[in-house]
Amino acid sequence: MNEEVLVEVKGVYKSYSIRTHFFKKLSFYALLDVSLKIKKGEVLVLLGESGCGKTTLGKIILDLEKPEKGEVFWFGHPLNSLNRIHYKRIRPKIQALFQDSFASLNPRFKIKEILTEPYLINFNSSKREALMRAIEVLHQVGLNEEFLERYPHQLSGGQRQRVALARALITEPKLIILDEPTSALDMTIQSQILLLLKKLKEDKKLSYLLITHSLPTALEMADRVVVMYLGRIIETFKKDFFRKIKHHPYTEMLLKSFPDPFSDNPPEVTHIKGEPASPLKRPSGCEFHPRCPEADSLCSKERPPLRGNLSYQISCFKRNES
Amino acid sequence: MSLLEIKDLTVGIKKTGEKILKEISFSLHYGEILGILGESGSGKSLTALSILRLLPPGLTYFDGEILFQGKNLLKLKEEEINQIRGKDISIIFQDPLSTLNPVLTIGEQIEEVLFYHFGLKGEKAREFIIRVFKDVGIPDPELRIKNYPHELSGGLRQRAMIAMAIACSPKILIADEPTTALDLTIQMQVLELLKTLNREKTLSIIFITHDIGILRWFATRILVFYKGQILEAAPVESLFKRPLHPYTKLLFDSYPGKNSLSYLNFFDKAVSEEALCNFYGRCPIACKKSLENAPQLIEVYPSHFVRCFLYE
Repeated sequence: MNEEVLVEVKGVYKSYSIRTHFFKKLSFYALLDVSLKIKKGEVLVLLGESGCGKTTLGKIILDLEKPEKGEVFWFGHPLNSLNRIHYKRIRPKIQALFQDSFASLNPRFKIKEILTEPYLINFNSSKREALMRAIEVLHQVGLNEEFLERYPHQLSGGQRQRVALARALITEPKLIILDEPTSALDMTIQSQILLLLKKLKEDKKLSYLLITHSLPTALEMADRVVVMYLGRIIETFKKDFFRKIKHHPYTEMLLKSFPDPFSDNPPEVTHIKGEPASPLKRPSGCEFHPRCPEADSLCSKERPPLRGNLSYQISCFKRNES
Repeated sequence: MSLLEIKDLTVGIKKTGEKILKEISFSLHYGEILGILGESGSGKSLTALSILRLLPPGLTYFDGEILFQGKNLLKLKEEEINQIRGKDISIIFQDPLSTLNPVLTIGEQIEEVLFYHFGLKGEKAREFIIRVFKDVGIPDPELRIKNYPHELSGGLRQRAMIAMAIACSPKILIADEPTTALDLTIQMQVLELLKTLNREKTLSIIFITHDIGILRWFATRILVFYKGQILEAAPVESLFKRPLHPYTKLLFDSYPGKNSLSYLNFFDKAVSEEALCNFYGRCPIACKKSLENAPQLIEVYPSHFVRCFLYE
């Protein structure tokens, strides 16, 4: 067991506040006591519905948001005690790819500038060298130097996502946070990008944190899956165990209601109770109990801890971890 | 029995004469859920809009007929089609927040529809709306009626949209990606609602989506659209048992989660020659026949049509 941990998140809390009235502010927790490790060479999938805090967690790992409580470690170094020089050296090793490539690419920059900018900033290189690198990464994502002089709006959605990926690759990262990288794309383009991500992972020994709400994407890519509900991790499992374990009732609900086109079983819909609770009105006890078919009085009073080991963790009174 | 029949519908850009929908022909049977599957730009949404004569500016009908109850909708006067919109044929869109009026309450917006078609207003309209809200599963309808769109959750907003669309008991509901923006569990609840309406109120539905899984379990018949053409049309079971067109096969094979993506070849190559088959450039077979002739829709199995030379 000598697995290198790239990023570790320990007991992270994050809250936001919204103004409900001119004088009134309401704060709510987007993340509660979240801990996880991303190991070298693995694809960790964060699975959850909108509002479960998966994007917030991604932002905290990227240091785009500061946690309220808890710590983030990059390659073993606690983030809040890194000095500037050290920080600047590690920073390019963790990159991001977002859903909306149109919003994340500067519309006034040519692809050339988009790609070389992070390289010039981080590596103190000459423009010529940066340009050479830009061409190299363009080829790696399946494009070529013809794209250098174009603007983002001149590209298709799939091409833009490839450019955004090339920009992430140019700093030679070890870990890329992929936040819904294919949700905005067409079906066949989606699988092309997923395929590209898989290939790059092998070629460059990358690790990914893939944030998604899509079950098929998760199963296609994952080595390990982390399921979130209302700001908490409620279950984690290795992909190999997917069919073997008894899942959290929430995960079970997702699996049962998922319309799998190639299965013989129609989705079960009747067992879905209610809508996801709002983080503004967090239920007592286990957050899922108002929608859970198995909940009893204990579930509404106490919150089940997350138990288990690295290959299977669960937070539910009705399940045991083995 | 077909309720709506579309014949050779050809729509395009007025100025350039470029065709976007090319001779689309299909019919919607009484009580069925017809799924339209396609990627963005395949013309699936435009087909929906053109049925109700809601073409975006700059586009025009070049050819074709849309027959509803013996009337050609394309020949009707504006007042006449207004009587059909919302009353006989309704439409719902993906994003209710941008379709609903943000400065009117949900109740007021539905009342407007009821007043236009039935002359209902005030207390009578209110009672009517509360009944419709119960039909679509909106809890506390008396309270919700006074809510503004932004005060509702995504699922409830889509239910309110459906309530508005079915308020006048239409015969046809066109649903353009109605659940794409919703979470999985909510998505399934909304689909279940549409299914119930289809069964209990014999509402025929045209359901447009790019989600294969939803169509598999929700539609009864599927049309596969590609670049403004129907490439394959088949009952659901037949299509999933034996997809015929190379494009349909590609769509099915590229569905993630089966760990088979690595074997996939996308054939996304640039083609120099002009082919008459729309799929030529991405087709693994790319038969030479399509350089001279355009493939036609042919029936290979009962009610299973495909536009491909492989099956001729």
